[in-house]
Amino acid sequence: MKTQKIAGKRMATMAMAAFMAISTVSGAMAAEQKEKYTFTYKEQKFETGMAADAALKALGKEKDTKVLANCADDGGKDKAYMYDGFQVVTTKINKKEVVKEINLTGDGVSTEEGLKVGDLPAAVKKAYPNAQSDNGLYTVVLGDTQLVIDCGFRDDKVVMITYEAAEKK
Amino acid sequence: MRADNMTSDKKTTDREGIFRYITLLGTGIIFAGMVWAAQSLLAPKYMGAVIEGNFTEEYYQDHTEHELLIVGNCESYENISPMTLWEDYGITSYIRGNSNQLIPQSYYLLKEALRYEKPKVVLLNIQAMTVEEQSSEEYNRMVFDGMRWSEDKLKGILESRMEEESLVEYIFPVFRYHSRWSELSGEDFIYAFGKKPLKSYNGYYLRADVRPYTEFPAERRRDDYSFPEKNVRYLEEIVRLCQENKISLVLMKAPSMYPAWVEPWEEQIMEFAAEKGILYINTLLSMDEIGLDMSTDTYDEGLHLNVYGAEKLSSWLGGRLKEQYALTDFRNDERLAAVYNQRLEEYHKEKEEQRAEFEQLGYISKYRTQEE
Repeated sequence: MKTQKIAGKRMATMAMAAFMAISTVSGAMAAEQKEKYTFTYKEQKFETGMAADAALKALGKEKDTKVLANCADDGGKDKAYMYDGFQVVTTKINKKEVVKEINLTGDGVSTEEGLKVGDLPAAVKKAYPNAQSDNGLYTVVLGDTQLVIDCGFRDDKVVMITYEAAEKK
Repeated sequence: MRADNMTSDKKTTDREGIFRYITLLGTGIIFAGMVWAAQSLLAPKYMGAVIEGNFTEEYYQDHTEHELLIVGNCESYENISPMTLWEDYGITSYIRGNSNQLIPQSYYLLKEALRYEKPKVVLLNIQAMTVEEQSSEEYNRMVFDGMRWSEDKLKGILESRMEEESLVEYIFPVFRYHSRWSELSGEDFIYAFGKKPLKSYNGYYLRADVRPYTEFPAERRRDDYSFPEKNVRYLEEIVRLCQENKISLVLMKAPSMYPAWVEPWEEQIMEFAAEKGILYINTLLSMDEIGLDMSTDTYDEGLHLNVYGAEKLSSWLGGRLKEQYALTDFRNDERLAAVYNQRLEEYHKEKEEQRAEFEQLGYISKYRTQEE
């Protein structure tokens, strides 16, 4: 009876270990397979280029909205939707409103890699070892997206993180 | 007898030739007339919520000379009121400004204006120095569709058209606007062949609604703040043009709060102005002195001034320019006073109508579509 119990426990432990191993491997594979930078907020993923109405619906009511026109009316081409700690900038492409940029401006939100406003440049390098830095501006590209991390002209701490489309080469 | 026949045949042949020539000419004239009529009907009239497309052509309807010519994008035509410059100082002025008017476009509009007049002072708003290329074809059309044909127009189009824009569509706008036939409205028929009413006040866009300033979203820092090479080249051309014509050039940054005017741009302009010996006025640094209150003096939350803000800025600016460049007070000039005072009366009337409507409705109905 005792032997049976021990065998049962062993089986359960092995099953658990196998499950954890599979989970870890699949998690690592998922991380490796990440094809673009996405911003996660309230367990939902947001990315540049996605339909604005879907993004805005998932994000909930914004604090404020600004039409980013400079001159004559251009049909409200660019708009900024302000939320606590971040802003979503949309633009119109072929009459369809899409997410153009996501700007993290407060420390209440962070990137999926754990970086947030107020962090030191060392944290940027740790989270994004491949980031190219220029005058306090760190850029890291993944697929057709890029993250631009602004550490200010003094390059002393993160002041803003921007998700945007990668610049075409 | 044979000679008579030959003469007769020749006369018949000549007559046939002339007839054929006249028929061909007539067909050509009728065809050209039809193209012109179609073009006039199909071209946008800008009589609704977006009136800025009229500004270039309205300049030709003003037959007075101006001592001050103001050039630039919306930061010029929405923030400076030539009516106040007249009312307060007797300064004659006109704004050659358009939506998102690029620096090369300002150059060609200025160059063209110098064919008609020779101002004492040219004031260029320099916000467009930061703009590398046109963002919308509509802006280019608003600059050029109303411009008279000249070498300047041709060069201006070639220098600033977007990749997908063709020169042929500027020469024959009917090719560009042919698809508008299904969206023609009453105003298209009314103004296709008739004279359009003036929409600007010497190039100024009047807005009497009030929407207080609220904070704009943070803008992503750029990798490089150098002005585009083409803009610098054209700014140099504007300097040269003014020097050649003995015109004093003034550079100005209007008190628009967005897009943010950042330090690296300020430094470049200051350096340029100092090097050329040109006066540069950054009104963002003199908001208090001007008396601007962005809770009441803007109609779009800080992008542009409303008429109350524009009048404050114009009054402040007019005083400076008049003193520095000895601009003439023309208020006792009968001919000019007749023209300006009539327009001034219309300006005050519209300002009051807009004020009353805004007070009652909370918006200006004719611009409602634009804001929605």
